[in-house]
Amino acid sequence: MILEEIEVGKWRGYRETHVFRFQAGINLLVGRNEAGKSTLFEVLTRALFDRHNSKTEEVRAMQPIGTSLGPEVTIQFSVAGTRHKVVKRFLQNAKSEFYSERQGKWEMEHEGDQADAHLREVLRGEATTRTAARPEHRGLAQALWYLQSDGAIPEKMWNEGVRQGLQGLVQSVATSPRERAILERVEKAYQEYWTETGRIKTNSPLGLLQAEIPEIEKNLATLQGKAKTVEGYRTDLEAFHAEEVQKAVDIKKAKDDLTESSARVQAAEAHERERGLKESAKTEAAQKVHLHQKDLTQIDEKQKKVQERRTEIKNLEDALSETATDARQEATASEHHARHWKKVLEPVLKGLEAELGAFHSLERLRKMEKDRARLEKHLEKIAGINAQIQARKTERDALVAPDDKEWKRFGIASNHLIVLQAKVDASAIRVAFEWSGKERKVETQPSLRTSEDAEYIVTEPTEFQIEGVGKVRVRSGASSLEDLLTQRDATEQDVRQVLTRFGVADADAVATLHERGRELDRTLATLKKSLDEANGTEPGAEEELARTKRGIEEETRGISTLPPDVLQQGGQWIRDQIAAKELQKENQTRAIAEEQKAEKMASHKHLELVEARQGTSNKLAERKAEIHTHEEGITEILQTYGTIDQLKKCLAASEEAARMATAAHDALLSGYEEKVVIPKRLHEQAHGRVRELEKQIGDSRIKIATTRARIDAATEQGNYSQRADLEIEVERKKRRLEVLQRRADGTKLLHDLVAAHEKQRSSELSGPVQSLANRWLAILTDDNYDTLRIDEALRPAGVHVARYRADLPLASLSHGTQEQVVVLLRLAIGVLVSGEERNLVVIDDRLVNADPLRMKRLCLILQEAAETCQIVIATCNDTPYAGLSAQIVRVPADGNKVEVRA
Amino acid sequence: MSVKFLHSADWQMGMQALQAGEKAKEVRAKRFETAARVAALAKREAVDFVLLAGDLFEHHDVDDVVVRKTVAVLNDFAPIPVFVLPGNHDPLVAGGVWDRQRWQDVGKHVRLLREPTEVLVQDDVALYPSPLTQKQSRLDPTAWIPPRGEADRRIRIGIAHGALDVLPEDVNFPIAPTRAAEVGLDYLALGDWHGFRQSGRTVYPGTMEQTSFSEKDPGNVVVVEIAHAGAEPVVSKHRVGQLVWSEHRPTLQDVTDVENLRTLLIQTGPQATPLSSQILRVTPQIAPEASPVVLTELQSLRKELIEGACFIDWPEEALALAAAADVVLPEGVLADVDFDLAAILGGKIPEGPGREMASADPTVVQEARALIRRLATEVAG
Repeated sequence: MILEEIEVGKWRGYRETHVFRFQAGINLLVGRNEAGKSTLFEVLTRALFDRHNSKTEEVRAMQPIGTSLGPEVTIQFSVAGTRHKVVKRFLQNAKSEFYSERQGKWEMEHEGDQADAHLREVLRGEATTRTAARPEHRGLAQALWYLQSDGAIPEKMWNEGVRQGLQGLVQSVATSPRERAILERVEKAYQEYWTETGRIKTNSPLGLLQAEIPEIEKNLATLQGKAKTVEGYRTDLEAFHAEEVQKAVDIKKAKDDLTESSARVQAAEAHERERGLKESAKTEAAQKVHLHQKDLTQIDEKQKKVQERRTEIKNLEDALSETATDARQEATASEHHARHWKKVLEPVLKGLEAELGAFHSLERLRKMEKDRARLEKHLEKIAGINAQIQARKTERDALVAPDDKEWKRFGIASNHLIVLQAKVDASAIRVAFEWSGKERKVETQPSLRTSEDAEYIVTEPTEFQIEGVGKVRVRSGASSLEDLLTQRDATEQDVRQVLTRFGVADADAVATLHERGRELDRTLATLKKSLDEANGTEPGAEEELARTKRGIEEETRGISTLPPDVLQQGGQWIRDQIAAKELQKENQTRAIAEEQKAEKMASHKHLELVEARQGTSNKLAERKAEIHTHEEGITEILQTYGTIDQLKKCLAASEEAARMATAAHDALLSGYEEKVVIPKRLHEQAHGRVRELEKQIGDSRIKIATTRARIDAATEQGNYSQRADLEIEVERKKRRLEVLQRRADGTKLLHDLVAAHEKQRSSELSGPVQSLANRWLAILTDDNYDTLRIDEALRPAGVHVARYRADLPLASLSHGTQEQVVVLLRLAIGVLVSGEERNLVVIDDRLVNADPLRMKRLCLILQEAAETCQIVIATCNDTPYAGLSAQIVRVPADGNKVEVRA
Repeated sequence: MSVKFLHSADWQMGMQALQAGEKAKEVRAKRFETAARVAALAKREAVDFVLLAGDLFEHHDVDDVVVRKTVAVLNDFAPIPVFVLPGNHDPLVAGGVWDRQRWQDVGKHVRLLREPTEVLVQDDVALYPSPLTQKQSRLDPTAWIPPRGEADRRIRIGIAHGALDVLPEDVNFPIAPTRAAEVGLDYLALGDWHGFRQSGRTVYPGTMEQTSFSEKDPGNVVVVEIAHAGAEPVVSKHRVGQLVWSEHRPTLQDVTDVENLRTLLIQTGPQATPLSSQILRVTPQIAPEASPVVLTELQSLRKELIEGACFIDWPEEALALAAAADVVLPEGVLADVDFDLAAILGGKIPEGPGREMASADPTVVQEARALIRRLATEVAG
């Protein structure tokens, strides 16, 4: 590809459209830093390798800063002698148009995605889907264009790029486009089956089949498993049927055994019945013996008891007699005590009590009289207080005086009047006359007050009649004065009313009335308090007095039995008498109590003896009744036998019968085990066996039914035909798998063979590349390094130092020398791939570190390379390239559209 | 005293039809249609009874719907009595197809022959069934049949399932070829072989609908008339089968061979089996020198058969592998690669980078060569 022209606009710094033209040989792209040199290479790579509708970040970054313009570019180039033009716009109204020149006219051959694809084909680039084109997508250009944006020599990229470049290299030296097209299809066919890592693509038909078949086989295995299960059921069913048949045979035999044992059991039962009869007889005989023994025993016992009771009766009768005597004695003693205290002691006591009563009455009488005197005095006092109260009350009712409230109101009003008056006076107009000469007489209409300073106080319109002068009219003060006057008059009226009401002339009189009223109230209060106190000391004094008088009357009657001399005695004598009588009374009372106690004890003892006697009588009766009962019992028992001797005879007979019955029963017990127990047991066992077999047969039938049901259920699912369908599907898919696998393997074989041959060719090519690069390296380094070590991937590995005959790894060289080595290598590749057609080599400012001598030598090399390929070198300074026959393409910094000068 | 009956066998209802590929379902369904035709034939011929000599069902595990539909077809025979013999595919075993709930719905005119005992069909016709109770045996199931008594003037018909003991290898349930004569049977109705075969009084009607590619003269039932005891049975074969299975391995050199194949497979005329009733297996052997036109014609024929036939087993890859010798590869890598592939195919070890692939599978190598040619053909020179 030979680059001819780049027209760019709205692209980073190239806001306006710029045109840059290139020649087929060396082109120096000269511009200052950030002039846009690298931008031009970006224009070239994006135009050739990116999709026009790409919206990646890298593409967006191409927009001029602060704009949303759509970067545009038109590139003209020629390939294999045909000129082409590509017009591309990104982002805004994105477009891509590929033109070819036919007979002097541009004819559009492709547009849109097709144009993009066609462009990529020019340098065997690769399409990208989601990202911007990277160096590895540039095909041959990755090997030939050494751009700043690619950074230093990254090994991975170099590998990929060179590998791609190698493919491009090989393809570029391939003899025909047809081969290239076929090789592309080989690669495509390979990619249909295989991933980059050499595995079958999971989403390819082969991959899908590989995934599907095991799944189907798994399902088939499941169905086959189910079929096996059903077979298992059938096998089980066979076994259950066989089991059922066997059980039928067994149960028949068991039933036969049962029938046989039934006959033996019948015989055993007859023997059993016989034994039962004998046992019953034996039991009966024993019972008879027992009965006779019991009766005899009972008679003996009863007789013993009768004897015992008779002895007891005798003892009880003796005790009874003794108790009766004692009871009579106690009754007599009790009567004696009762007579004594009732007849003798009690009357004495009564006499003492009567005397005591009289003395107490006398004592009480004397007290009551004292009380009467006191009470009468008290009542007199209360009457006096009441009289006082009444008098004061009368006086108070007659007095017309203001109460406290009225007095207070009057006081306020009076004070207020004074204040108002003072205000009026203060507000009033004061008129004073100062006579020069004689004092004249002044009359006022209405009359006015004068102050202490003989000032007339004018509070209302007033006419002054001045003797010898005339009249002077004086108006009063302002409306406030009128208000004050009004208030004063009203207040004055109130005050007057009060005075009038109480019939006094002034406030002092009112005060006197008020004070008098208060004094009377206080006196009344005091008198009432005294009255209350008096009533408090003797509450109910009148009732008390009445009671006392009644009491005196009664006590007076009480002392009527006392002799007159006693009535004359003093209080102490009376009290002494009372004390003596009290003592006597006490002694008498005690004596009576003792007699009563003795009486009670004797009576109680008597009762006890009576009860004891009663008890003994009862026991006596009981014993007699018991004897009677026993005797009757004996008689009853003997009714059956007659006499005791006869009973004894019966007993002997029954004992004999029992002995015989036992002997007969025991005789039957020998052989019992064999005749009865064993046959019964065998019969029971046979029965059990039959039952067991019937149950087993039932179980077998259940198992058979269950297994049949399982088989039915399993076969209802339609597994047989499903299995067939799955087998068919597996077979079909396996056959298809085989075919696809063979195809995939064939594709891989072809792909690998192609790659192997291409690699061999590439390796073969590396010779010429190395040879050329070696020569140039020697020139560049003045034979210091005579060999460039290149690996089979055309990657520089190191240099050979001629002088020391040793290799130096690339990393040991200076950065500048490394870059120069890479430039040489790219130039060599470029020369070799430009056999039939010139290809473009781009060097983006990679020789800045070359010293002048190296630069000179590099120019020679560049010139030589330019005989075969087109070279574009970006640089800030064109001076070092002065020796080159190069076209200078200036990259403007000011953004103006500039024509290129040759 | 004469008797007329229909004899069929090996209905194989519910068969898997694996060889029919994705048409297996249809092939299975066809058997019910054919069975219905047998019922119609039985009524048309007014036979006295029908004998089904074994393998009514393909397997004990056949789907329930198969049993149901078979029972429905057998019920269609009513009121003609149908005698069904258990065969080696459906022997009388516990839990087998004869114990299925669905089978119990069969009509009273259908009798399953469970015991090897004489069955009187009519007063003068005795049947001697040999039901099988297992899948395999070396014992002759007809050995129990008692010889004709001297006074026995009834028509005696045996019914059994097994292989006539005429083949050199061991067979399953071998039946003596002389059984009919030995025990005085007027007719021995057999089942097991799927193609019609008659050997005197011993007859295999074959399966009523072909079941695989390897069968000879299948698709028939027989109507048998026996005038009296001892008379020769008059056996008439009736074609009832609908599908024809055929296998072809033609060698094709030129277009004429393709045409001949077409004519063979796509028949016309009133007697022709329509393509839609054909199940085909085609494995063409394409001569190396055959031209690309042959391939093209074959592809066209294949397409036609796929569209028209009931089922065809003809892998597409059989055509793809045919080498096209005329393709010229451009000089360069491709030519070198093809050279290496040819060498490997020829059993040689290529020089250069191709030597690593010398042990590649020849079919893979062929595939690679075919691919390179195909791709070369796609890219016009």
